[in-house]
Formats: sequence, structure tokens, C-alpha cells
Amino acid sequence: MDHEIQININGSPVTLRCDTRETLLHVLRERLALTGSKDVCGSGGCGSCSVILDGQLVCACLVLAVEAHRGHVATIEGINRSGQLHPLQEALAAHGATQCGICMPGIVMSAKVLLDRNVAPSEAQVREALAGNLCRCTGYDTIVRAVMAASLQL
Amino acid sequence: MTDWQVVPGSTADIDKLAGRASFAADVSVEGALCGGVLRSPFAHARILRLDISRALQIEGVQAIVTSADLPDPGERLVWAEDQGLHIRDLSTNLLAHTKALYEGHALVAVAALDSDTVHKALAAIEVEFAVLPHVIDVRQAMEPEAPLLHEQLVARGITLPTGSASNIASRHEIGQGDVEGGFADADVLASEEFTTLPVQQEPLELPACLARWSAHDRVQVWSSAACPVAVQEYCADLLSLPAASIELQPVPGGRASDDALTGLEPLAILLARKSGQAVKMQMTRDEVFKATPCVSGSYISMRAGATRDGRLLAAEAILCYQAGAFGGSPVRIACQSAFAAYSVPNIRVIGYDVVSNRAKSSGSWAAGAAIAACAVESLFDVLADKLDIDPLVLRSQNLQADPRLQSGLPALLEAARQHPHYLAPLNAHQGRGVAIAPGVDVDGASRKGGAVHICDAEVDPETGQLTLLRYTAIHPGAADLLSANDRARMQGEIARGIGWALNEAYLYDDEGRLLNPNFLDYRMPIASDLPMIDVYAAGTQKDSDVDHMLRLALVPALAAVTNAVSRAAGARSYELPLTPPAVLKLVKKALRRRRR
Repeated sequence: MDHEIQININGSPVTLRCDTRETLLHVLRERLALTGSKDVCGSGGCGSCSVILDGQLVCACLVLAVEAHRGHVATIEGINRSGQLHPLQEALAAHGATQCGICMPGIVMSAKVLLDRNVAPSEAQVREALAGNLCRCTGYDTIVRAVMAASLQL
Repeated sequence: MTDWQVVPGSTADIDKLAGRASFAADVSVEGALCGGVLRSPFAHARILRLDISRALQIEGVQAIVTSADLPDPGERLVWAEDQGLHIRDLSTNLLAHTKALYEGHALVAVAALDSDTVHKALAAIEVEFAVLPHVIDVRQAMEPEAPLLHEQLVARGITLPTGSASNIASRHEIGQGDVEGGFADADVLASEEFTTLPVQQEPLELPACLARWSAHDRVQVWSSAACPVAVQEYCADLLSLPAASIELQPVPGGRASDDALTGLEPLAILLARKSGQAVKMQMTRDEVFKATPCVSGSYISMRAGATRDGRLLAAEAILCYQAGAFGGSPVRIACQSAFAAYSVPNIRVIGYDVVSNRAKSSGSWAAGAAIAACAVESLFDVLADKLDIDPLVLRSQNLQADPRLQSGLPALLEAARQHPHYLAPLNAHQGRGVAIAPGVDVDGASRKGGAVHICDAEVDPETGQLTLLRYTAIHPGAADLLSANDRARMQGEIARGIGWALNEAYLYDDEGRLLNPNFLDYRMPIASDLPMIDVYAAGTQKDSDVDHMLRLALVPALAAVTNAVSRAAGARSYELPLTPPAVLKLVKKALRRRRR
């Protein structure tokens, strides 16, 4: 069934028609060409499609687009709209954490939500905050170091 | 933490971090069709009838391909990392001909205007199966009465009466000296059996590709596979196309492994040719688990004999690797690498490459060597306990005498003995494991630098819950040899080994169907499972082969974790993965032993 929905995405209002079954991830990637959120498992098991919906970190593959109606969504594309890199992105690149890169947009979103709430997280807090994001390339070591280094820059 | 280098990130990295870098799944071209694959729901079944006529009539269906659309592949061996693969096997793996050999075996590929139509078409394809008995376990597959996957398969490397088919694709043997004599002279014997289960070691990205034919019979392919040449050769071989007509397009994101030949590209090329339109395909996670290459499961029987002062006199090992539906597990290199670090005067190593009803295994040499290292290094710990010798000392005194075969291990073992990690005290329920990797190269013969790993684990004796406390990987080279990127990759390889040892496994039901084809049920390590992984460079070499070193980092990881957990639990583990219930069993075994 068709619905008209309005979503504020990265500060811009968007109105579109979507099917009841359509996920927020599908709308972002296939309808709006915002491919920074990655489709990796489709079941909330990896965190690669993490976005911020009304202040909450969510897996966009687990949210129906109609649930985001009248909501505010921040995606990876909105993190550095000003052209400036977020300290997290600089730190992740500098620590060699990027590698294949498929998990990175999700990691940046999860870590941003952590640092927005806790400016000086411990190693254990960083690991806990990233527990919903799978990474197969790094073993998380460089990612955790980078998030902690970025927290010192804020 | 030692000499951590922080350098500005590359533009490519920044693009990935900003979500700007396109991965294969992010590429789109105007008017591309959507592709999908019908796969076998059975582990082993004869295909009695396959009818695509109803599906073809569905509006929006633009092309359907079956094995009848594949050219006759001929009879020859083609490129593979470890051993030759038969082109006919690759063709049969791409689309099942007369039998489905595993759950997820591709039967038909469809291209349609959108994904809903693809699903409708797949549901409209009529297939009549005769379900056959199946076999997945490697030991059962080797039994004479086991269901045969390939009625014509006669093992290479074994002399058998003509026409004796089995599930053994090949047999390998290496050895020297008088093994029985060596055992007769030994003061101490250790004899053990080890099993490991198949695991997924590929990168996270879902395989995806887009194929578009242009004028002049050329096809452009955007693929998630990292090695364009391999994909090009694979498609050219399977489709009888000139390699030059397949033009791999640059894709900035991703780094899939070399042998991630998923079958997607040749199917997209065929569908695009038949429909005359571009075709985009992406696998689901379920398809990745069921149908793409994974690491072999294994059964290993091994014994070793030593003198009272800890000198190895004899060793014998039988390595059985589960190749999946077609031969090609990395068992040959595993035979060569198993005892390569050590000087054993009397030795025999036999390897079997065994087919079974699951997806074809990958040929990754490092994974093959890691399985063998887990058994060998466990056996060394058993001997060290029996002889009451420090595990590092026992390894040191049995290294190859010829410096050209030593892979720098004497210096690495010495560095390990003096490392603060090795000297740190342990508390109750904690254990320390060590393991070495011989520096065997992909060809099995030449030698490069080896590695020594140290791991500390703590066991909760009430629940079997494990905590890895500390991990140190000692590799040869000058301190500044490895970049931050290189270290991260090595840590990633080690983390894969840790997941393999502790949690990961393909689990099957009685019908041979995978029980855990998703990330919630197949548990990879998450950030809160792991400690920092200290990659320590010992030595001054500036000319080490870094790429080899990166891949070798996986090899000792299974063994280091297994040895740490065995010591923490107080009883030796012979089976992976070391899940909490398995660890709890070890703890209880140790308790019973103490009570006696």
C-alpha cells in the first residue's frame, strides 16, 4: 500500500511516496541515492546502516520508512556537510582503521552518538558503544584507539 | 602499546569514512535490471524436472538462464591459489546441472524490471527433486558407505581398483625417516584427535556486481571482488569469452578476498547478454552463508614422540579437510606447513581433500595452515606438560637446524620469552597460551618470516564464559616496517582467528540445512569481546615480505587461543569452537580429575 511520508533528512525536508513494506534503508539508498548507509545484513546484525532517528541510533534496515514519518534522520552524508571532517573521521583514517570501509559509516554514526553523550569515554565504554557494529578487517583495536583519540579533540 | 604510528589518512580512506566512496552495491546505471538466483533448498538432490515456462510469462521478466545456457567447459585445470581447480567443477558449481550438491546451490538466474518481479519469477519456476542421502561431516564423508557426491570421482594420489569412486578428491603425503622406529625409541608419546568446524572468513561486504554489454561484444563489469584479474579469468573460462572482452571497472570501496568467486559475475554477464540490458545483482547474507566459499572444517589425528629431555623423534599426522562440494581445500599446503618449523627426523604427514554436501571451500593457504598449526601447537603443549618443560623452550629446542629453514623463529621465540607479556603473573582461572607459525609461503616450499603469538584467557568456572585478557603477536621486522594500516590488517586477521576459535561455526540440521545463516546466530567477535591486540615487531629486517606477514598473522591465532583456554580451564580442548558450554565441560573435566 502506498503512503505519503515526510522526513527531515540531514536538515532538509523530503516528501515521498513509499510502500508499507519499504525500510528506511531502502528509501535512503534506492530512492534518495544516499548510499553511505550500507546494506550488509538486512537483519540488524551488523550496524553498517546505522543512522540517527530523532536522537536515537537505529539500524535503518530495521525501521520501516513509514515509521520515520515526520521524524528527523541524520545519515553519514550529514556528518560533514560543512566540508569539515568530523574529528572521528580524521582519527579513524589516521589510525589505519578504515580498511575495506564497508562498516565505517556505521561506526562513525555509533561513535558520534557516544561522544555526543560522553566526551571522555573509557576503553570499555567505547567497546560497549560499538558492540552493535561488526568489523571484519581490524579486530576493532585501531577503531577503539581512534575513537578515544577523537574524544580528546572535542 | 609500542611505537604506534599515526599518519594522515588517504583520500580513499576519507571518502569511505564520509560515505562518499562507492562500493559495487552502490553503483547504478540507467535502466539496469534486477537479478536474482533460485537455489536448492536441499543438501543433496537429483533434479528430475526444471520448468521455467511459467516464470518466463510473467510481465517484467526479461531473461532466465539455466545450466543449459553455459558452454561446455571442456576438461582442464584452471588457476587457483593452492591447487588446480577443474573447470567442469566450477561450471557445475555456477549452475547445478543434474544434481544439487548443497543447500544454496544455484539452479536458475532471473533478470526482471524490479526485485518484486524477480521474486515472483523465482517462485514460479517449477523444480522436481529426488532428495538423496547427504553427508557433511568430513569423517562420515570418508566412510566407504557414505553417499557419493560425484559418482565418477576417483581420488588423485591413491591407487585403487579401477572405478572405485569415493568422496576423497585427492590424497597427499610427505615424510622422511623411519616413523615406527622413531616412536619405538621415544620416551614420551602424545596422541590426540582434533576437530574444527567450517567458518566464514570473508569480508563483511555483500557480494554485488553490475554487468553491461556495450557495442563490439564487450561487457563492463563492476564487482565487489577485489582481484579483477581473477574475476576476469574466471568469467572468461566459464563463459568461453575472450578475457579482453570482460572489462572490470574500478570500484573505490571494498576489499574482498582473492578467492571470493561467488558466481555472481558470470550470471550477471549471461543475464545481461540474454536480456540486452544492464543487470545488477546483490547477494543476501543468507546466500553468502549458504553458497559462497568458506573455510574448511577438519578432522586431524596426530601423534608425536620425544626423548625425556624434549627432543622430537617422530611425528605422524593425518589431516582430513572438508572441501565442500568440490575438491580444492588447502590441505596440501597444510601438510607442508604442519611441522615445517620443526626438525623431526622421522615423520609422515598424510592429507585428504574430502568433498561433502556444503558450499565449496575457499583455498586460502593461511586458513589451511592455521588449522594444522592448531593441532601441532596443541600437541606441543601436551608434550610440554608431560615433560614439564616451558612451552617456549620446548619449541626452541626443536626448531629446524638449517638457518635457511628457521624463518627467524629462534630470535622471535627469544623475544617472546623476554616480552613483559610472557613474564606477567597470572591469577586463578587464567591461562597463557603460546603458538608459533612456520614461515611457509603459498607454494609450500620456500620460507619467509614466521611468527610467535601469546594469548591470556580467563575462564568463569561457574558459566564457562571466557574473557581474552591480552594478546601479543610477535613478527619479524624493524619497528617501523609496518604502517598503521598493516598493523590494523594483522589485528583483523588475529581477530578472525579468535572468532574462529571461540564462537564461529556453521551448524547444520539433520537434513543438511544451515541453522545459522545470519549474524545474530553466527556470532562473530564484537568490540566488547576483544582486548587490544599488540602487534610487536622483533628484529631489524627492513626487507620482510609485508604482505606475507599480514596473511601469516592468522596462522598461530587458533592455536594460541586454544592453548590459553586449555590452560585456564585446566583441561585440554580438542574441538573448536570453544563456546561457553564447551569450556564449562573442560572446567568440569579438570575438577573431576582433581577430585580423584
